This record gives sequence, structure tokens and C-alpha cells, in this order.
Amino acid sequence: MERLEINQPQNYQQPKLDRFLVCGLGSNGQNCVVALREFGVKAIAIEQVQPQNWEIPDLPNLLEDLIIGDCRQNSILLQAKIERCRAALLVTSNEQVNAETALAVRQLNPRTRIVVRSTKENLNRLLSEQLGNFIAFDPNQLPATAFALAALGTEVLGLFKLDGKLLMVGQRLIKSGDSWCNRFLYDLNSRKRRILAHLHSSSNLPSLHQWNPDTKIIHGDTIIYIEATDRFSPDLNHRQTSRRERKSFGKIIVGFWLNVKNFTNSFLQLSFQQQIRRVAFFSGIIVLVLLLIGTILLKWYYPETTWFSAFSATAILLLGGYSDLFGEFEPITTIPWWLQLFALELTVVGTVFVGVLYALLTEALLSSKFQFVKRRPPTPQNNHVVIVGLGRIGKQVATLLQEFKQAIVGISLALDFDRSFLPQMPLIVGNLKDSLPKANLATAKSVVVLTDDEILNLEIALMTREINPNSNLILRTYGQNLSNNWTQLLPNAQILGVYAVAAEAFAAAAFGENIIDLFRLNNQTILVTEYELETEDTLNGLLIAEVAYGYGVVVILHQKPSFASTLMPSDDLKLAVGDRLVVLATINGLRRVEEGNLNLINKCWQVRIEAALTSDALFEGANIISRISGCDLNTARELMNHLPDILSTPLYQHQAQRLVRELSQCMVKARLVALSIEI
Amino acid sequence: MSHESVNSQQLKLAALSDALCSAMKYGDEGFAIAVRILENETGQMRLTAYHVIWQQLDETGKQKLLQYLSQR
Repeated sequence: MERLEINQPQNYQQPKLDRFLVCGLGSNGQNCVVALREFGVKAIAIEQVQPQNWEIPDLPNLLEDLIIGDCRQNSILLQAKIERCRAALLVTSNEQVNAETALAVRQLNPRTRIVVRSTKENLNRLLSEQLGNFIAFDPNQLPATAFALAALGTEVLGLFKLDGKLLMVGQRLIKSGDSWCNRFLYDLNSRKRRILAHLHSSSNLPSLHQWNPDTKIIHGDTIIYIEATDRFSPDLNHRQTSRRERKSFGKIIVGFWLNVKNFTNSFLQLSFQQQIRRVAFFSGIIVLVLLLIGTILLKWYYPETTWFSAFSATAILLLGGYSDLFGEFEPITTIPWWLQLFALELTVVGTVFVGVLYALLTEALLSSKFQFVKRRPPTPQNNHVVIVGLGRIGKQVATLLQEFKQAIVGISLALDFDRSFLPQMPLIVGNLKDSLPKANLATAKSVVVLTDDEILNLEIALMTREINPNSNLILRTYGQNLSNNWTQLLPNAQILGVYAVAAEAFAAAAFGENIIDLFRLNNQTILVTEYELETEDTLNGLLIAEVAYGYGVVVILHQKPSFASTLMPSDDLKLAVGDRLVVLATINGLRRVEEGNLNLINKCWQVRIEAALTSDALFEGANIISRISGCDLNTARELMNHLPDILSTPLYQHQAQRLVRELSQCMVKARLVALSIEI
Repeated sequence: MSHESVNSQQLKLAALSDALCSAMKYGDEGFAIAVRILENETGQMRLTAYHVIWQQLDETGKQKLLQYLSQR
């Protein structure tokens, strides 16, 4: 497909791209400004009207300039110095405005990277092909996996696919008898697994790489790791329990009785709570009473008739059939006047109340839209996940949780909810008061609150805490202020600010990185980020170990051009132009990569080589030193020929410890020499 | 990576090493200049600059370098 013809000015020096533009200062836009600030840059913002209140109070100070106007207009974009913008983040809540602005930006500056908030996948693909250097995100979709995994309440923190391989970020609490107990941390790293963090029972979760490879794992430790896996089973124990439950006849009876009890309770509650149902209830009662009285009276007055005939005659009268029984104009002497009058009364009253019942029945049929779809399974009794709010993000979370084979129930507060969605999911549609009691909240494992209304989310969260204080509560917010306040109000809840989390991905994308996925670790967002190395890249020419420990990221995939990709690559690979790299990083790590700001303070570990026990060890030792430290092979051989001596290249701690281990395996005696500084 | 760009990068690294080695011959002032050069470099050039300076220093000098970097 041919790209748009761009009016590219010729024959003049192109201005330096050193600015960042944010169009739209809603919640998403404000969070993007903050995230850009984390990268050390100030943004120029365009907003249609002067904001009266800032969600992030300090935001005006984070802006280089604020321009009031329509970001689709060239004049406004020029005012924002679009010709000097390295990236434009188009994050207004109106997708049409974002798309139009993207076209305008590309016309004015073919070099600007365009990052767009959009949910339209097909349009995004076409725009990406036409405009180039374009990426689109749906801020609601990015954190969906994070919500779903939080709802699992298990040890799975992240889950994503890379080159068709499933990768899982897990958290493991070491119990006595655990197969990892008494092993060294370095020993857990393999071709399929990387350790991300380690904490003792009393300590807080440290940052990536802040663990000592030579530490022995003990009971009570927690290990955070990433692992390639063939199949994902988040909650095996629960599924085994369910299977056992199905086999138990006693539990079937108990379950049935609970079902009946729940149904009765909810029916009674609904009848008295809802006006319309109360009318139906009373109409039905009155019709039944009249049917009973009529049948008894007719049978009493005509003892020769049967009970069924008396019942039929009363029913005919209640259904408006007075004329069928007393249709003759001539006087009826065989039936006393009072009985005829009672029959007339039955018809009149019956017409009114049966009419009401007909009306309600018609209304119920019409509101069901004649969707005679397969009946959904009943609400799970216990250990299930309740998803309140089935908007776009709610649907994604529900779909993911079903894929994870979780027992779930969805609650939609929108009466016009598409009832064909996930037919195997128990679904409750209706207002909050009616719906929550039906969801068996008291026995739920997790409650995920995802409606579009933040205050409603808070109300639901508080109700949930009241009914089930032990449940795993996950809450969606939009604003930064609310997120902070709610953390104090609901200390054990996991509160995810959708825009704050997504903004980090938007900001990282502005710098040209491809954000594959994200997950939350220790209240930080970890971005799964892909790089393709270019000539001036700050990753170029470095060992993977230097990238990892110098920039504070975890390299999980490496690919040389025209070779297959390798998961959990060796620390000793040297990166070159054209290589593809996928890392796990916080926004701080990405900023370091962007700036090329390698951490050198930690590169202070020295290795003293004492002796080589054999001549082979002398030769092999030099190879190992050169491979792990990245020093010249001649330098390494020179060192091995003048033992004992200290390797002149300083190393990071993990690098140095591995060098000592590998040297010792090939019969070379070596030890660490740490250089301590007073900071 | 083309041979030209590889050569260009190697030339840059060699020039940087020479400049730093020269600077380090001039005592504390030379050290300050070398560290300033290091601070302005990024990625592989930054790492090379660090290695060159490190290798010119004794234990006290190395501690001084780390102290200086930790205060930045």
C-alpha cells in the first residue's frame, strides 16, 4: 500500500526533534504529561478549553506550554511547534478528533511519532500503514490482563505471549518442603526462567535485580520470577476441589437446598422491593382468592356439579366470560340474584387483575426481545469471581477469566446489555440493589468492580467489604486523587487507575518503543517493551548483562536478524545493530535506556584470580573471563599468565559472582573484591 | 551493521580512550575533566569511558570516582 504524499519541505536543515505534544488534557492526557515527566521531558499541551480544575494539581508546572484551541487545526499545531515535536500523543476522548489530528500532524511533520488513543483496530492498522511511525492504544484494554490476574488472587502476576510462547510472571511463597527450598537463587535461573526479585519474610519487595544470586532460599521467602510455560493453569487446587464437590451426593443435596433457599429469598425480596413485581404479586393473589371463593360457592350451591366444573365456571368468569354463562336476556330464575351479582363481580375484578397479569407478561416477553438463547449456568455458590460492570474492559476481563477456567458471574447494570455475550457466563442484569444479593458476594473469592462511574465503584467496594471483608477486591478508578484516597479507605483492595497505568505505555511509546504488554508488580507498572537496535542506539555494543544491570531491566528475549528468537538469553551476548530485544522494565528503566544513562556505581565489583590448577584451566579460564566481562581475549590471556592478579574490568555484582562460579567449575581459583564507598 | 559504521564506532571509541588517557595524566584536574567527559557520554561510549578511567586509577581513586558518581 502506498503511503500518503507528504508535503515535505526540501533543501533546508531539519529542526531538532526535542519536544513532546499532548493533545487532550483529560485524565488520560494529564497522566501522560506526568509519565512524560518521568522520562525527564516537559510536554506542550493543547486543550479545547481552559481547564477549571486539574485532576493532578501540579500539572501546569509540568507543562512547557498550554495552548487553548482545536488540535485539528494546523495553526494550533504550528503554534505548538509541531515541526520540533518528536512525538504527539493524541489522547482526547473523541476518537474522530484523534484521527483527524493524526492526519494533520503527519501533513505538518513527517518525522513526528504519533501515539493515538483509539479503540478502532482496523482504522489503526490502516492509519499505521498510511502514516508510518504511528501506534495506537486503547487505554482501557492495556490494563485488562492486570485486572484479570489480580482477580485470580493467585500467584500469577503477569501473562503474555512472545513469538507464540506463553510467558508467566509468578510469585512463589516458599514453604517448608518446597522444591526450591535450600537452593541458591542463581540456581533457579534457566533457559525458561529468570528470577526478578527475592524477599525475605520481613522485607519489602525490592526492585528488579536487587537480589543476591548466592543467597540460599529459605522457608518464608518470596520469589518473583518469569517463566516460559506450555500451558497456563492458574488455580489447579480450586479445580480439583470442584471435581471433588461434584462427586459428593451430600453436597449436591445441600447445593440444591441452598439454590431453592436463595431463589425463595431473592424472589421475596424482589417482590417487595420492586413496585412492578409487587403489583404482579398482589394481582395474582387476588385472582387466586377469587378463584377459590367462586369454586367453593358454585359447588356449595350446586352440590350435584363436580369440583372441576365449578372451577372451570369460575375461571371463565374471571377471564371475562360472564356473557358466556349468563348471556341470555331473559330472566334466569334458577340462579339466585346474589350469585349472578357475584359472578358479574368476578368478571369485573378478574378483567382488571388478569389484565394486569397479561400486561406484565407481555412486558416481560418484549423486554426479553424474544432472545430464546440457551439458559445460562446458575451463579456459582462459592470461590468465584464477581465482575461488576460489563463495559469494554469488563467484557475483556470476563473473557480472560473464562479462558483461565475461573468460576465467574457477571453483573451488568445496563438493562440493554447484549445478552448473547459469553453465553457460558452466569449473568445478572439489573440495578445494584437487586443484582448484588444474587451474586453470592459473601462467598466470592474476588470482586472486580469495573463500572464507568467511580463513585458507584466506591459504593460497590464498600458494600462488598461489608458483606465479605475477606474477598480479594479489585477496583477501577480513573483519577489520581481518588486512587490515592481510596487506598487509605480500602487498604487491602487493589486499586488500578486505568489511565495512570495506560499513560506509562503511551509515554514509553512516544519514545519509539513498542509496548507489548504490561503488568503490575509491587505497585509499579512493568512494561514489556520491544527494541530493534539502530546505529545510534544506547543499547548497541553492550553485553546483555550490561543492559540488564546497567539500565535496571530484565532481558527476556533476544533475536539476531534472520535467526530464531531466544527466550531468557545469556548475559554474555553482545548486542549489535539489527538485533531485537524484549525487556521487562519500569518507566524509570526505560528512561535510563532512552538517555543511555548506564548505572556505573554498581559496576564496582572486581574479581581477583588466584590460580589456575591445570594448563587447561589457564586456557579455558581466559575464555570465560573474556566472555563474561566483555574484555578483550588478549587481555584475559595476559591476566591468566600473570596470576595472581585482579581483572582490570569492573563488573556488576551478578556478573562478578557468575564469573567466580564458572571459573571455579573449570579449576580456576577466584574471589570477589568489593569496593566499598561511603555514600 | 555495515563495515563503515563499525569502523566509525571503533574510531570513536579509540579516540575517546586516547582523550581520557591523556586527561588522566594531569592529576586531579585531569581526573575532573575525564569524569566530565564520562558524564556527557551515553551507552557504550559511557561504559568505555568508565572502564578507561577505572583502569587508570588506584583503589583510592576508584573509591573517589564511585563517590563522585553517587553524588550526581
